Amino acid sequence: MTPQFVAPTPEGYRDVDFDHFYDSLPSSGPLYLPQLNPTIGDPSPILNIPLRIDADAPFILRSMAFERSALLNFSVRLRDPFGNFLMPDDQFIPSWLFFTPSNADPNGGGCAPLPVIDPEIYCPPQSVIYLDIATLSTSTWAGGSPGRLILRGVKRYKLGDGSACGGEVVCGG
Amino acid sequence: MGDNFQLRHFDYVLQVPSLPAGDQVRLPLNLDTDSSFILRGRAIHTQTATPNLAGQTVALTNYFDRFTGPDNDDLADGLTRFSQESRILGQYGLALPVRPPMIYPPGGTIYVDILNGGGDDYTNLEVYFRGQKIFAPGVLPCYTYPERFYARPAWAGAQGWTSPGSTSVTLTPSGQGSVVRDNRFQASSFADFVARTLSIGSFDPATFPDGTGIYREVHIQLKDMDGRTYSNVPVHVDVCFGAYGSLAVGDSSGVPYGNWLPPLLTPEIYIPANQFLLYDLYRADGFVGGLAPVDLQLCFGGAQIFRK
Repeated sequence: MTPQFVAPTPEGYRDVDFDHFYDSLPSSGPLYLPQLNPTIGDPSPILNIPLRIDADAPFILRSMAFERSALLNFSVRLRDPFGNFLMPDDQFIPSWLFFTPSNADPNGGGCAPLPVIDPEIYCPPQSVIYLDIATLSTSTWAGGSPGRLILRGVKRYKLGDGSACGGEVVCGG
Repeated sequence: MGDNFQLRHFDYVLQVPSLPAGDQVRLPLNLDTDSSFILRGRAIHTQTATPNLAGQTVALTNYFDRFTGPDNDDLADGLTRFSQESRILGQYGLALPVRPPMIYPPGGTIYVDILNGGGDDYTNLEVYFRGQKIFAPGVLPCYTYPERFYARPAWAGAQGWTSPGSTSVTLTPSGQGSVVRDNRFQASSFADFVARTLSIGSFDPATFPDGTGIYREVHIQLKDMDGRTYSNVPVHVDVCFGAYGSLAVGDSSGVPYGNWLPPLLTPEIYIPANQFLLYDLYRADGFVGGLAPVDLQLCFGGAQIFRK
């Protein structure tokens, strides 16, 4: 029996699971994204935070979440790589209504998967997803930051041009 | 079901105003006469002054039940402990699955045996039966995808909520009768919107868990444009939807955790461009007293559908 998947890989391509990380901590090295750190006391939203996609292959975005966030009460607005707002009417959505995973449940019940983005979003190589964040807790940003942001999906390599077997990607039989 | 049926999301709620500790009752839940009903999942909820899921699990640890199938036969020899099958009591959109699903006839009755095996009385206990109504073609308007379209994921807030920090609906203080009716979620003028998830919550970490900016008993009833409801009575927001931001579920240790999945509307609700979904909100926190108005925020998740 042929395995079935919700989102099959197109013929002639190879999908490889991949997470893009963006972190507000300087200690996170190459993952550090300074724009994720709001200025405490500033009431302004932080606009146009660039979430860059790797250059080696298109990225198919299927899930997104903030993890270990010290700043809990903030809202989010996104644009896809083609400039389309994903929140109709340019609204901000509280992060805790969709983009916070159940990563720690003290009552048991385990961890849920990250929130699903459906339909998936195609991101060309080297494209940018723009993120806007705004405080909800008070009139100004309180302490903390949104922590680490995960964009989860697959990189889509084209078979036959060498990219699918290059670098870290190992082709199976 | 093929093309010969139209499914519509629906929740039936059996309301039990009180059940003393140690008592067992057998109660009927009468189903609507307009359609058959596919039962796919169950949940329970009760009124408790203790916030969070922890309050629910403590209150309902010794809840036992049994219910009847479409032929009015009991589906178990005895009553089973709900919390043993679902640690989260089927709440937060993760209903305890009914497998295989069962189809009840129009006007049917589900009889439910309920035992309060604990030491405390139940007040305003609710037993949820989640599934779909089944309609023949033509009975209801059938809004669905155009022949040619493309879809883009989208998340939308409630009415009039277009700037950061603003709120959707303020439910003023506690007590019976705190109702905000006919709130509107409207699709954009340039695209249809298909609603697949709904998260609801409030957020006030400064006063959580015991402060005033929180709620316990908030119920919602979704309605289509014509006023047809998606439940027989209002459903508790944390049972069928909920979110991390819902202070009835949050975690006092400060460890963030989110909505479970998030909660799905099954089947999805299709809203044509410029048209809308209505919802009523009810707050009944008089039993804890002294609670302040709460800003409730909603997020309809799904996709925008663009015609080609």
